[in-house]
Amino acid sequence: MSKPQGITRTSADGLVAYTIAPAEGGVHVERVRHVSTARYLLSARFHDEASFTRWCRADGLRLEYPFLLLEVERNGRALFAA
Amino acid sequence: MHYLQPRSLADAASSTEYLASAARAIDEMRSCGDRGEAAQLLGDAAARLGAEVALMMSVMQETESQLAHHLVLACDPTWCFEYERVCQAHADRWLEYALSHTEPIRASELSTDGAPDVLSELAARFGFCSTVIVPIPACRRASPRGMLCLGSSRQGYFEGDGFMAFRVVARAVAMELHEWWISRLGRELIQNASLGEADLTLLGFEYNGYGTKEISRRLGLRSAQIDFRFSRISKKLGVPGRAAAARLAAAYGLL
Repeated sequence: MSKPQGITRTSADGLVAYTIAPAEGGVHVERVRHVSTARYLLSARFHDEASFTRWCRADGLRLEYPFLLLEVERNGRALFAA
Repeated sequence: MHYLQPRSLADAASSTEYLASAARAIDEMRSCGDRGEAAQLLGDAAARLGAEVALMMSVMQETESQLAHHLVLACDPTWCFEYERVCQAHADRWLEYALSHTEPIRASELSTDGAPDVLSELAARFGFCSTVIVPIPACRRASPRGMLCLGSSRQGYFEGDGFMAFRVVARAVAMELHEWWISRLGRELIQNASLGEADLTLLGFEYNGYGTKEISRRLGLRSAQIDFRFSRISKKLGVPGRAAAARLAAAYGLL
């Protein structure tokens, strides 16, 4: 009911997860990252594909999880195209 | 929804519609069940207050060893990467202020003790040239705290007239937004862990310091049943024991 419905992609080590969901006028993204004793959750809305792609490519986690980020980017772009 | 940026904060705050518009933002928020709408709701609320960009951060002690930071952005989302980078190297003065105060403050009023204001310089690149930090204090023991930051790309926007009305309304909106966010997370926790009313009652007893014996007396159940139930709840929540389970439920405002 309240959790954004969409595609969730989690890293193999379970430390990072992205949820991408269609939203009114764009795409909603949640990024969860576990760092030792902390958990960071980011919630943001993208109104266009260009800003979403730019965000994916600016994510520092791309270095550690290149395939995950590529998949997130691909899934997000598919949502914009749908 | 698009809102016209007012000429000045005084213009926005002196409008007869100002308070009513903020109240409508709260109304819309309350009727919205989807946590995925958070960024949109935040952006709408900020615009109604006369701000252009906003971020809301919530900090909650989920377990004894785990602290959760939730960041909702109604601005360029690449801000979060830069923010993470800067706050790893420098203290987050905005959050530090918010966690130890209750009154809204302009970022320009925060002392840097002579150090370069790296955070404000960075924030300005993302539309927070003029910023107000609105602390969100915990409303109950162990409940989350946080801050709402409202910004404008115009230097000195929050320095002029209208600030007093703005801070009163911003405070109310910050509390409402935060409560909305936490309540959605709480519902999600209940749903994901399949917790029932009886489970929450038990966690409430634990949170208030009742032992197994007293709980079993009050509920008319055997001690072994109480212990078994606690063990099942802890397992469902993925925490090591009943104290941790109660703390987590309290952090999400369920108790």
